[in-house]
Amino acid sequence: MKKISIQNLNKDFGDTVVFKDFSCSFDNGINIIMGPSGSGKTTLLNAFAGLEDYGGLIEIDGIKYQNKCDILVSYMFQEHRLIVQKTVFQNLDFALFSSIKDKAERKDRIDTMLEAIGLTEAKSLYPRQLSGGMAQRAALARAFLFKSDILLMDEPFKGLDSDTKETVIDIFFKLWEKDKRTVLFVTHDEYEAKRLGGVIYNFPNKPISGIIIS
Amino acid sequence: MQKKTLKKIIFFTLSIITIISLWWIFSSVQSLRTSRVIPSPWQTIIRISQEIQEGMLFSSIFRTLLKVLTAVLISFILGFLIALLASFNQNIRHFITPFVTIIRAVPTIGVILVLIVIFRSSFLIAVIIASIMIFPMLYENFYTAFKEVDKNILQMARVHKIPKLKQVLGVYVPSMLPHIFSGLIQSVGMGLKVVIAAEIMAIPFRGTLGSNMFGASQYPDFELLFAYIVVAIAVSFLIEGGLRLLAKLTMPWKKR
Repeated sequence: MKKISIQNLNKDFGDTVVFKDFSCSFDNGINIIMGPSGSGKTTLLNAFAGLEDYGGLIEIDGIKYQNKCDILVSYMFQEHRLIVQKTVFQNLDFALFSSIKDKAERKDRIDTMLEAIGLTEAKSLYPRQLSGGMAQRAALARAFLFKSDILLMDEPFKGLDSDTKETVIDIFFKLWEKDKRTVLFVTHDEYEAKRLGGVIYNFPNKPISGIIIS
Repeated sequence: MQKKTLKKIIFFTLSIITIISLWWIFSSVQSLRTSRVIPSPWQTIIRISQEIQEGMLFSSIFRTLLKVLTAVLISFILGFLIALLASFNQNIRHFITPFVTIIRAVPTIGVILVLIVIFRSSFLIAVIIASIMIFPMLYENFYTAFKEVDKNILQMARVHKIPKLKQVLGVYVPSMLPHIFSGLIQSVGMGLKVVIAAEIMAIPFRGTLGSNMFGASQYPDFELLFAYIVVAIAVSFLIEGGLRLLAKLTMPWKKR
């Protein structure tokens, strides 16, 4: 698990300033980021994922990344983001393509993961044939299959009914216990925040500036 | 068999029966009044079989189709490249739009007449006019296909450090396939119509569907004319069916 900190982060989208000299240190376990809509939570995750440029510094285990972060991260988005033209197996295989070159090894790892999360039967199904919970489980599998030390989760359980949410959270813990990573988990849901039991960071309305401590 | 498929087959068969019945009724009414302009379906089928026996039909189809396929290939490459540029740069899109609008509006026959004056090669005339008419369809289909590639999926691929070529093959191509097939199906139908029109007008085409139709109208031999019209429809139908089958095979996620 990696120790993450942000120093003097600056980010704007034209006239909209999201972060202004923002600093924060995250725990190397599960971190819950809460805050109103549009407060920059997703932008922060995108900065970690290398999807957004920024001003300032992101420090991960002592290595400093200025302007753009290019570390390997696993990212579970708000939507499942499975490729609709590929089966569950093909989706996972696609995501692992660059990190595991050996096809047989990819297959073994995917099969093991699908069994662990109870999706073996669904491996040949296409995303539109999956329920919301199954699709999010497949996305969770993809996130854990991809080798990285940081797991970004952007309201991944939004829209799931309470029973399905419980199931997916249980699976999340099962996978996380086996393969612990630093988690940045964005949510609006206080129940989810409590259930995940991590360190909670409350983001104010943008522009976010100064230092935020849990 | 699924209920949906069965319904499709029933209504398709009903439609064909209706078309043939209407054709038969028109040909019967016609024959009571004046000389036969519209032959009956049965007479037409006999005439087609005679053409097959004489060995003229398949070579005519081949010559016509060669022009259609050449035109489709040219428009496919041009449409793809220009749509690719336009999807990345809106200025190119704005620049291309008037060309596409004009091409769409321009009367086919007018352009064929101009091409006849400019070019001596009748093959070239047919290919050029068909390419011009097909291009807007393929360009628009490609442009829509490029625009509809899911940006969220591309973002997911970037996070997983997927190489560009793998992104093209794994995200762009599957996402674009429905538009490509739709464009091709429309193009072949349109291409066949335009090439036949060019063959009729730009004599000296010999031994093509268009020239055979023209020849039949000059004698006049309406049975032969109808035979070639039906053949042209059948060819278009078969190619469209083939393309639809290929689309089904290459897009398994659609049929489930």
